[in-house]
Amino acid sequence: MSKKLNRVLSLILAVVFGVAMVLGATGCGAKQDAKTADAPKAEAAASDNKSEVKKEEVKPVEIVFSEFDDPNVFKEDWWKEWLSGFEKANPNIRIKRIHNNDNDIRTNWQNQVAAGQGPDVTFAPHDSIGLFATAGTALELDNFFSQDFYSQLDKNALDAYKFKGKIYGIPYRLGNAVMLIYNKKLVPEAPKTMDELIAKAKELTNAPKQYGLVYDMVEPYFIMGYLGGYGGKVLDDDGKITLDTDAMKKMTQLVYDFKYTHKITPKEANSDVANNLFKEGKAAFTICGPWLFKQLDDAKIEYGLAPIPKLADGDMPRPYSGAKVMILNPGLAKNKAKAEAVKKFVEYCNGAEQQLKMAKMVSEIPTNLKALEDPYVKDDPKVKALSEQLKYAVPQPNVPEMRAIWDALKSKVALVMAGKLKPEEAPKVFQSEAEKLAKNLGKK
Amino acid sequence: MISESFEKRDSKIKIIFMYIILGIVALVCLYPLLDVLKVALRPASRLFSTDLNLIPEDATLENFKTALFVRPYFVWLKNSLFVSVLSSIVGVGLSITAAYAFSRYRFTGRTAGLMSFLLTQIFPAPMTLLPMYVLLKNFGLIDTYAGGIIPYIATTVPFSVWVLKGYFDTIPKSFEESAYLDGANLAQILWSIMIPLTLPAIGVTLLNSFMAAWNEFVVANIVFTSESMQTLPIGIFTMTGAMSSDWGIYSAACILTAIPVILLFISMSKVMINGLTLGGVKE
Amino acid sequence: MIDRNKVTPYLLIAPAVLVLLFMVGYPLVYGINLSFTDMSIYSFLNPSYIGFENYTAIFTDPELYTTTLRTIIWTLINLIATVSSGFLFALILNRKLPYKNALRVLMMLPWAVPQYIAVLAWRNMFQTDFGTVDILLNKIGITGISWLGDPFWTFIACIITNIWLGVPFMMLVTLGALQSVPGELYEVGEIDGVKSWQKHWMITIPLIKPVMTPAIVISTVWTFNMVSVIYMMTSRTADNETQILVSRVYRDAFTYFNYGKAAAFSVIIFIILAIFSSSIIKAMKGGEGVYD
Repeated sequence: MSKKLNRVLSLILAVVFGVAMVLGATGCGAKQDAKTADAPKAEAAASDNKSEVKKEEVKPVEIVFSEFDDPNVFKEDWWKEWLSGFEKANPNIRIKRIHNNDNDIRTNWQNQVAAGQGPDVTFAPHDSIGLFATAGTALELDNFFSQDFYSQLDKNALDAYKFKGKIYGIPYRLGNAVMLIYNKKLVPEAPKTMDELIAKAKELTNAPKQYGLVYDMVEPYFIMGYLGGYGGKVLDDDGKITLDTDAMKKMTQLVYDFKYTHKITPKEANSDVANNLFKEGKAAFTICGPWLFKQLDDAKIEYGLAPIPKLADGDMPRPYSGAKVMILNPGLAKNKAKAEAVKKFVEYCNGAEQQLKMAKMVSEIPTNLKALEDPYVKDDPKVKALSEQLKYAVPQPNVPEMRAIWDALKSKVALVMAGKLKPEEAPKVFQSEAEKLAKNLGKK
Repeated sequence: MISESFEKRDSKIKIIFMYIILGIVALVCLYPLLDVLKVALRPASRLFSTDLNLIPEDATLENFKTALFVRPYFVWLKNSLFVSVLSSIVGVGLSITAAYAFSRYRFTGRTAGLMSFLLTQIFPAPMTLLPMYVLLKNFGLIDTYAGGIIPYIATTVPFSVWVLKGYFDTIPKSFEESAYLDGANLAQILWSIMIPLTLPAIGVTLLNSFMAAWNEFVVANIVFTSESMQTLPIGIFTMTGAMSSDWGIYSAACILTAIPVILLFISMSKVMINGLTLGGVKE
Repeated sequence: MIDRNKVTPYLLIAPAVLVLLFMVGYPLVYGINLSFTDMSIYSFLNPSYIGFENYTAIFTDPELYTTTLRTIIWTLINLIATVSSGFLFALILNRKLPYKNALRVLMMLPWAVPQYIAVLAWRNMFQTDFGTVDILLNKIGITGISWLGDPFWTFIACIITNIWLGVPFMMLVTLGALQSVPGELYEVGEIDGVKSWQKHWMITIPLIKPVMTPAIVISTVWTFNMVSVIYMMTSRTADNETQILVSRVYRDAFTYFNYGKAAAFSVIIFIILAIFSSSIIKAMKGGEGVYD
């Protein structure tokens, strides 16, 4: 072989080695971590049959959990403090936290679990339960925890978020229902009926400087209460999509009238616009949930809270209520040592004290019975208002078909609000669109 | 004096016209970022206002302070710099040798090879996520820098190879032949002839590779799971929520992400524009 | 020939090929395999092979054709706009002009921020009554455009945003390519009395072609497969009237978790783009150098 070839070879080898070395050096530290993380797994597999408790105590078990709370509210230090009690009590268990943006939580979990990986526990909105349970990416929990553990939790909450009669997620925080929030400077007292609200809002609208009513006009989540108030449901008892109903027509007409007939809303508003207007004192009413409270406090707006008032030709609106739930990785079924550690961790998280601490951060309601006795739940004005609204709220359905319903409503309500689709014709379009989208789920 | 700083044959009207075009375009490029800056300067994360003033009356740097010191900005910055610099240098390095082969040698599979380099860019990214996750997991690369760097190299190499190959093609072979006659080896030829002569193209490919890694979101989102490994785009994205976001801090962080890149753009100016132009070398 | 050894070129391309095989080969095979399965949430962890069922489902969906047409329009408009304005700006910036470096840095700014941040900034600007675009339009008497509510205008807003994002890259590549054009050639042309536009047509374009061809092909692929602009601009729920092929892949995969169908869709996109780019390269003789 020629000299030249030798030189070429050495050049290439140099490049490859250079790459390998740099990558090796950087990957090194993390790889070691991965090894130690794997060690307990192997350990656990080995000890499965023999159940040598002593051995498990020597090697620490690492639990990974992912959360999706607003990092500007739940800061790094808060989590550390919240977890410190557990780690002190369980020196053999190490906790690793991963933060997910709430839009990524489903995708990440699905991909990771499908690849046989993923966090051991994920905190998630309860409507992921149907998706995960159907896909087999959530562990069925009926017998995972003791009855003793379940008896400490609010039975209604536990039942409300079952999927096909089984527990797949432990609800640890309730709330997430939208309610009426009013600017006390403009409106001294909450209206009793929707007509009253509309009349007051008309009086106070002076667009674009001030609006009577602002709300997220993009996400249908904010208007679903009216559907319930008119006696409608998006799914019948057999789980069939039922959007082409009279109630749906009334709901669509109502929000159409807000904009076109009464002219009390902005022409367009997403959450940012709506929240922004209300925070600046440029809106009398808004429809929003507990997640807005902190921003309102920061903006020093004086606001009042009330249930969304009774509809003129209907009942009290029934907004969806939601829970945050803890969902477990199905891989735990094969790893007893880890499952034990996770059990301890979830039990710790759902203790009265920890649940309360968390709920207080966002003015939501704990599910631990002892925590529910706390003066915070009984006396906090925000929690009281939320409880009041929750009396009328219905749990948001968590079947996978909801995805199609949300997407259909979102894109087609937008057409109604842009004046491109008549409210009376809309329900039919909602129905056919949702049915079409539901086919994407691939059900046979 | 001034007349010498323009092209000789450009008329005054043409010069004014060119400045008007550039001015308008620069403004259009800048404006959306000024909007971001405006939000960053406003207190209490007010996102909208109906006035078009650039600096809000109650401007404050509070959001920048929060973005810099409350969130681990410097950790993200360090990760981003590390991943972007390494992946662009290694990637362009691999591309130079490959491009040289494609430009100078006629070998079996050359055309097919060039084509398939391009084809690697075609499969829609969303569908590669799951397999990529499986792959990186099996090699223990999740939550390591390499887990980000290797995919980034793979996404930029084809473009770099093509651009560099096109550039190498414009260099007459006589240069290398005389160098070979003088006893230079391949490495020396690459290092002392090809690279200096193609600096503008190498600048473009380096910058493209750097920016691809710097701005990359989807892969980083699945690979860098722990907070201490996250890059800037991921870190900033975690500040947004579906229903409520702290836009003030978010916008401040965006501006802080753009600043290092703008500095890079400025420092690259020399290589990109005033680098050795080929016209000067060819006789 | 410089080096007659037959192994040398293979060794030179080996490192790049290895990285690509590792990162692209496996996902590609995985994706093609997936496209023949029924992997959806109803069989997520234990999918089974169903032959061409996903493909027939896609091809019998009448929406496929409107979406494909929209994708082509989307790609063409974006491409024409970015290439022509990138070329124009690069030509100007390639001349002697005081302060051009500062202007060039400003013109590269759209590249300096991550895409989704830029898209969110533009989404805010398109907001009715509160966004800059709408405020400016109102001032010159154009009112009532619902940029984010009306799918037609949303699509236009996406195109505007994507052009804004894409021009700096094209400008930069063209600028780099222009460096390889020897100045003397123009002088010769000018002596021969060649007009300015003829000069570019006859001298500049042929000379920058080897660099521009791959840039244009790659940019076409990127535009064709651009998810984030449409996805973010429509607040994550693209209507059928704003959807392009790849955003459907994204939706089927990540909001409906129908991986089998999404994979089949991806394979179709792959085939379309493969045919397209190989024919473009052949037509422009992209694989050949100037001196070949």
